[in-house]
Amino acid sequence: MIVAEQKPVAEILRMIDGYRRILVVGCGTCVTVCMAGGEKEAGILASLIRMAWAREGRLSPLIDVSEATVERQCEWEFLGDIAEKVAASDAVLSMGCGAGVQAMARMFEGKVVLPALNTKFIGMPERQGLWTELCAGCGDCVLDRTGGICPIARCSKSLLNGPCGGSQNGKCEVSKDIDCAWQLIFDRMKSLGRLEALGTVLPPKDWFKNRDGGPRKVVREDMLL
Amino acid sequence: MPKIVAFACEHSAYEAAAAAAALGQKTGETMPMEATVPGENPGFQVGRVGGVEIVKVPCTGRVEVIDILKALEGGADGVIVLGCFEEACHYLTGNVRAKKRVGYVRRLIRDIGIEEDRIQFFHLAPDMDARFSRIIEEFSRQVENMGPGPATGITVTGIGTGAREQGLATGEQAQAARAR
Ligand code: SF4
Ligand code: SF4
Repeated sequence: MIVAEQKPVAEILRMIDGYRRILVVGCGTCVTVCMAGGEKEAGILASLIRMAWAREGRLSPLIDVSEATVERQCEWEFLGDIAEKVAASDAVLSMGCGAGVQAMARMFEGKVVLPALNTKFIGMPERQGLWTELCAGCGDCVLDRTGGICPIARCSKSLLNGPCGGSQNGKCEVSKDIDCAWQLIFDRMKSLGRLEALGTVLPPKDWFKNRDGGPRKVVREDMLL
Repeated sequence: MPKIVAFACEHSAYEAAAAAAALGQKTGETMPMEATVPGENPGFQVGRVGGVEIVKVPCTGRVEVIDILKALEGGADGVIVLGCFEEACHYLTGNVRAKKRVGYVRRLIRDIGIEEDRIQFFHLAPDMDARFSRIIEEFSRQVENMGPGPATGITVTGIGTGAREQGLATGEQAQAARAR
């Protein structure tokens, strides 16, 4: 899933300075699961904004800070239902990932849509309250050759034929808190009885499938209408 | 007296509060227990000891960040969460979580310029009616010195509070959006 975290409240307050009617929009999918921008968090942020503004003596009948949560911000189908509320606001504060913010900005033409989160990575919860990056969306997956452990996202140098000389006691030289991805790959291949496969040198990666030529697209001809 | 809301665990602090009320250590008022908190948690029962609003919870782990914020927004000058002593939680670690959560809310309100000591956590055992009274007195004094709380008075008008919007947009809206 997409993992995000909320921006500092002070930054958010600066962002919405000058607007009076704010609609905080949560997203019911990834960011609900990573506890950054779901219904609960939208309620909390809206409440904080109201109190911060009250503190600044900004109370007026024109002030309105409310919240709404859609199932998925990154799909048009779910955005229609908040259209009226969006229309009634001066600015929309999105608690979705970057895709959610941009989907709303496109859907609601002429409306200021602001990001309340920093979108971090594709990953998973390690345990309650801790998320780790697992995939960098490189566009050309090599997990078949690395025992299901991603060297692009999890090796600090994104090496394709690791480990580097800095790998020590299973840890990355960048920090003793980071597992060496290549040690993990080695251990996993060993337990799979596939160590000999690591003898094959991986060819340079085709980075044209990554950041080349503007935003990437995925097309499924059979699904196009 | 400042307006104080206390979330009290029914296995400890609530008992202590009831005992304090019965003993008249605070004001001697008995606690009516019929009322419920409207809104977020219709299940919570509310009573009063002296001027303090006591919200009975099955475990302090049940108290959410938003419950504390709503209490402040709704007019409380201070909010305390009263749970069992560590190791004594009926649900093992609810009190530990609640304490951490209180720490989190304290940081949140500090970030928006509100005194973090308006929100505090205390441990209590069911027989500690005297400690309950002392905590209330001390906390009330602290909160009083801080002046009025951050109640907003902002009416959250029409555009909806927290309701999850689901379902499909009208076909027209979706199409218009796609066309853009
Ligand atoms: S906007 Fe889409 S991708 Fe982003 S968090 Fe929500 S569901 Fe996930
Ligand atoms: S190799 Fe690329 S696609 Fe596969 S997990 Fe790593 S970053 Fe993601």
